[in-house]
Amino acid sequence: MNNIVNKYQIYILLLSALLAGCGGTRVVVTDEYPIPSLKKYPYSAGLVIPPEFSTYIYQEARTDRGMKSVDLGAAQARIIGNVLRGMFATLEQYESRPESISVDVMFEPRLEAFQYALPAETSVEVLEVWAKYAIRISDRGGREIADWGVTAYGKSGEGFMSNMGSIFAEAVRVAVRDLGANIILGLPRDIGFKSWLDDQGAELTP
Amino acid sequence: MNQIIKNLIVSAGGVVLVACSTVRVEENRMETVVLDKTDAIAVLGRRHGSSYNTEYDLVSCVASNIGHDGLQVISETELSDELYPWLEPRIAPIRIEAMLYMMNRPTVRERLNAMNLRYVVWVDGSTQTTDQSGSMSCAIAPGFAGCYGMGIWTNESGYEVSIWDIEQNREIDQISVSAEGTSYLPAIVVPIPIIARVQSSACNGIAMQVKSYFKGETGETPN
Repeated sequence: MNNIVNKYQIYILLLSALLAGCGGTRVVVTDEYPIPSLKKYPYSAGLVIPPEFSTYIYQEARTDRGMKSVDLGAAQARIIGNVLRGMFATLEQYESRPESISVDVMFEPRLEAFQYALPAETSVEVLEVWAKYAIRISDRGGREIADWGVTAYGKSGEGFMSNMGSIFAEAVRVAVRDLGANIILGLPRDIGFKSWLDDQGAELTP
Repeated sequence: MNQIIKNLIVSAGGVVLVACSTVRVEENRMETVVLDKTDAIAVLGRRHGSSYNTEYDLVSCVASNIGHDGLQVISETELSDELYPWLEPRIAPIRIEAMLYMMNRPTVRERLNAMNLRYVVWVDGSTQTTDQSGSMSCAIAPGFAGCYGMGIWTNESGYEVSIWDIEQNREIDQISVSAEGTSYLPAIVVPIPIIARVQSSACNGIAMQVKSYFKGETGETPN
């Protein structure tokens, strides 16, 4: 009797393991990112990060890709905060747009698209991640300076017996860092923001 | 019979055999250096190629291997974070002139000075599976579980290493490392992996040559 119970316990364990494998990979991304080393603009900035942005989880609709979800929210909120903290003299963070703006310039990012390609779907042994953001930038009076588009790209190599979750998390980490780099390099080149900087009499690059 | 199978499973689980891999190292020394004890070395991976990625674990392996020999090594993560965003794949300097441009930023110069960074070792390349063959099938049934078949695959590594002296603004050494090995996975009831550690061999090849360079030894090829 004991033997039969043990046998069934093993079958149940094996079946559970197989079913767990069918559930797809959940990707959790680190939210530890550096604050950039830059010469700061002498202005105060505000950043609106609503909860739906900071807790965003991408859910894979297709069942044939082996992926379940990508927990992107904390990472994207952290990098944008860190980058703006490195670019401006001060940074105030809000969960929603305040009624009266007490900072020189306000940033409101939103995620517009998130895509990925698995190594099995491309001809190369890398996993690629791509995301598109738009950042609404407004001045102290609430007037829109720009609605600026910025992209993020990251890739990670597929190693021997490597786990899909960790490769994916690595690619997203690289993409999130790329988003920060793109903001630092691209923002001073945006016509609307450049013109606002000119009006303030600031240097063009941080 | 059951006891024999049990013993087979236990012994296979405990043993991972290592297959052979061959490494070839070539070096082009442009200058020799005498390393000052205070000078730090950073090992960084190139990630701008579209079809491959220099592996983070390979770069970390090289850095740790060099560091074991008493050289002062700054990790890729530490340097990339300190100089963020200037070493991100999109904007990392490909040529030494671009590095000079980057270092002209006072904030970057200040952080580099604080770390005593003098030499940057760039590693560019990857390890890929170039050939695979064979087949294996596994089955689970009441009272029995096992696999039967044979899998064979070949891994090839190719890495180009470039060493920059960022104080003198010049490239001082180039190393080329290639490695190859075939792994086998025979299975009669239990799969027994015989793995060729190609990436690890390439790591050892790169680290040995970099260490030999900084110690001022004449070029040697690892076996």
